[in-house]
Amino acid sequence: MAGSSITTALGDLGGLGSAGLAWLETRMVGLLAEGSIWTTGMPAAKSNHAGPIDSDYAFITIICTIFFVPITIALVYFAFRYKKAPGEKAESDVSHNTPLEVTWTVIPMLIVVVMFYIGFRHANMMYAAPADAYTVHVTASQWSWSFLHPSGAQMGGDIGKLSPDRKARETTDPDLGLHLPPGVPIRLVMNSTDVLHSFYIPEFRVKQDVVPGKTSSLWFTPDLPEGDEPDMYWLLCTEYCGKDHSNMLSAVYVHPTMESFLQWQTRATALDPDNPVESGAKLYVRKGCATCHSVAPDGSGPNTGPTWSGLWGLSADEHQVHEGSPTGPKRGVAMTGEAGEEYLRESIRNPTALWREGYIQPMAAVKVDDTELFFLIEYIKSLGKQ
Amino acid sequence: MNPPETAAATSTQVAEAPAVPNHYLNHSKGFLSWALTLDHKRIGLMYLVGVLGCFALGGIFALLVRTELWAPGDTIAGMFASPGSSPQEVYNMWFTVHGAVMVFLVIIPGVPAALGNFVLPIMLGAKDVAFPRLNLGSFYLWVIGALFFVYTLFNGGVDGGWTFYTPYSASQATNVIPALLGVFILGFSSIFTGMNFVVTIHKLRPPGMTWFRMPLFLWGSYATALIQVLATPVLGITLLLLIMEKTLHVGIFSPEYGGDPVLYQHFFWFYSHPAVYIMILPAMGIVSELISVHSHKRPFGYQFIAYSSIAIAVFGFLVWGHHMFTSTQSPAMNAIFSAITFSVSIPSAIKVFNWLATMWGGSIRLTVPMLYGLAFIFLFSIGGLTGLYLGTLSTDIHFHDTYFVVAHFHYVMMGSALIGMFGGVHHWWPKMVGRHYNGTLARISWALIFVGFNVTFFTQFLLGSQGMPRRYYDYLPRYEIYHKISTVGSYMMAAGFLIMAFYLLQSIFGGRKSPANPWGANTLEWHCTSPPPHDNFATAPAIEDCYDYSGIDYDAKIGGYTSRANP
Repeated sequence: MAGSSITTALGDLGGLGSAGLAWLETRMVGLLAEGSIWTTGMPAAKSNHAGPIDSDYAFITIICTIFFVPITIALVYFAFRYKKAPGEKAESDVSHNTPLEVTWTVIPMLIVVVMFYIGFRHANMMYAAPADAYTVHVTASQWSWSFLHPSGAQMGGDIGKLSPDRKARETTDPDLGLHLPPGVPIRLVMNSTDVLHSFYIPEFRVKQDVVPGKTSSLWFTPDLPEGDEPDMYWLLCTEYCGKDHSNMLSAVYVHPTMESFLQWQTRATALDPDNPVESGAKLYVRKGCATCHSVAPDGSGPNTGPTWSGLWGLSADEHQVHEGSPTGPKRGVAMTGEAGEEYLRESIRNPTALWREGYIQPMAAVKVDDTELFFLIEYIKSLGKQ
Repeated sequence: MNPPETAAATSTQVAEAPAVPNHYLNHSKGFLSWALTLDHKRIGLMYLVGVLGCFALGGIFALLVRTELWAPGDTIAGMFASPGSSPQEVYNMWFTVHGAVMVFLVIIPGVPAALGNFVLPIMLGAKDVAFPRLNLGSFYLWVIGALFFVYTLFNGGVDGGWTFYTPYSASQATNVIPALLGVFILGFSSIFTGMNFVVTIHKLRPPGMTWFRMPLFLWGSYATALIQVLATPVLGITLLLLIMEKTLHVGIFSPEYGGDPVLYQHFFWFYSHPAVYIMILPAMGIVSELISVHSHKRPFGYQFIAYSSIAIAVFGFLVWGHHMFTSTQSPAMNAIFSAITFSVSIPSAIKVFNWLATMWGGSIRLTVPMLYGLAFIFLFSIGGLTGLYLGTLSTDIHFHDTYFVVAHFHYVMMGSALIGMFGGVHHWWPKMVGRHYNGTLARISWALIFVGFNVTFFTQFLLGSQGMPRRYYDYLPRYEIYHKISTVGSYMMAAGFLIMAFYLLQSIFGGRKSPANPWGANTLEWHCTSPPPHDNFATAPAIEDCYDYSGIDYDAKIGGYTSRANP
């Protein structure tokens, strides 16, 4: 690929400079280290990428300080030192000084070459994931995240809730969200079902847009938790995606041990065939249905999609359902019967075939097998018209 | 010539002159004399009124945004939500309108169309711009474009952010199309102004006004005009494609129809990054004037400053991809765009060093325009240096689309472009209206704006490095304290701007009359009366070295300066 050969060539070219840079880095190691005064402002560093990015941050901050402080001092000093009464002539009539001007052109040039190179080198480390990485498929939709693991475990995001005193954002269910095994590189393969989104975890210093019609990916190795409990972080959407953009969060957990991760995996995949309603309720959160559909009897909660409370058995009059897409031309009322088995099956597996009056946000198809579909419908039935 | 004779000569002239001297403001009267005027000064003044009005509008939305962000959860947006909408949607409309109004209606036309129109022809020694009718046409296009925005405001608002990224913008039922048509029309307004300036500077320079005798503001305006003419059509095409996609479902940007959303970002930034230089270059030109005039010293390294304007304009076309480091753009393109981006930082740094060297050894007066010039250098240094974090590939991954970017571009767009514009407004105000504003109030207002600005936006660098994403209606409580400080800063700025509105209006009615040359400048506009006569110059002015201050003397009686060579 032409792109990668350019990258390689640039990398080789950089190899010449890297010896000198290595020398510079050993001299500056104390200044650039995590937790030094020059990384002030950065959040906790919790992945393999945080160290290199923070050291680049510190390097740039040092350069900025070296330029900014003298500029400001000169600005203030000159303003008062050369302040004169009206009509007094200037002390100097110098119009230029070529050696000086060439100097202050060339020095910044050399500095930015170094700056470009360190950023380039560290960014290159972030593109290709190690071959042994643990891969999670991430699906972004307006306005939720969903995570599919190699084990088949699928889990919706946990957007959390503002605590009543507005001092903290609390998670709602510790099994929801992105759960990660400890000590291995994690690779995320990401797709969007609707508009642009962006995956960002500040503590890991990773960010990648999630683009509809494309697959993007990123990787990182999270730091091991210090205690026995999983470390919790917030994943944030950083590409504007509409109404609930600022609620498109999810809790992310890094487990302290493989054992703890596997326990979660067991909980995440367990369904009880003897108790279909309860299993359906579990799937309601795992599959991300909870992001848009409320189940509370009073209809409170997210209402991007129709509430499931009282849905089962609605008559055709109470439940205006059309064919096609809400933005296209109306093709007449599709449903003549009540909201029943057939309608629900169609709406879960092929959600854009039908749409209900008043709900314009299209839903992405949800991958469910026949058993899961049965559980979900049983759950919706249990919430039906009493 | 001895003094008594001069005095006698002056008094005869005064006796012969009409009671009120004829100038461009009283040259003709009535609404049509303004609405159909071809005078660049009147068009400039009308633009200025329009731009400042839109600045107030955009500012109100900024205050609404900052107030909503006072605390996590709903603060005030809920009060503005109609039964069919949610507080989030109201907030999203606010920041979209704030961004779109400030960029397209205020900053882009601010310096070139308002101040440039007024100052450029006089500074050059011309009677008007090359195409006065095109100039008036440009103003009317601006008005029509602005009306499209106002229409969207009263018709449910517009959503999508000022960047209108696809496919979200294409999927929206809100007024995206009227807003885009508005931007499209404003684009033509901008192209007309740019074309006019390019032709004016090439063709209407009087004998003796060689390229390297031009004041630096003209170099900045010239570089800007080139970008306006060359880059704006790309925006127009992009918006037309987006409108086509939205109405006819032709697949260009939306994957739904087989398009590529990232293509839109390339098109958009191919215009909008050079547009950043449309905003900043003329402001840099103003600051080059302010620092030289108020230090009464020739600009240090005139040629370096002039060339750096052109260099910025050229490099500015080649760096758009630095907005897209996390967009799935290939690693090789990321590397190339990062490298070219750093090259833009060099001419910007040169300008800062040259301005400081201009002050060195000068005879500095800390006038209000000079205070704005100093504020510009300080704020632009921060805005420019923080750009280094964003041009560096590794650190940009962390900062992209966070408040760090918000802070960075506000330091450049507001702290530099708008502060430069307000510096120009304060510098040329006595020339435009013939009267001085209240200096004490102006200093209080300046201090409130300067301090308030830093409180508002420096905090946002911290917010961004902590990971706060932009365009968030609600946020994690860990960011609350920074948001509170930032909101307080925005109120300080609002107070400063209210004071400014008061003293500028008050000066028109009750201000002290300004002499022709209140600052001791030597560019041509200060050789005209204040306000300038209708046709600028009765005879073609003699072109001298506009930065030679040796022949400019202070006259305490008139509270201004006189020129020995050209009284």
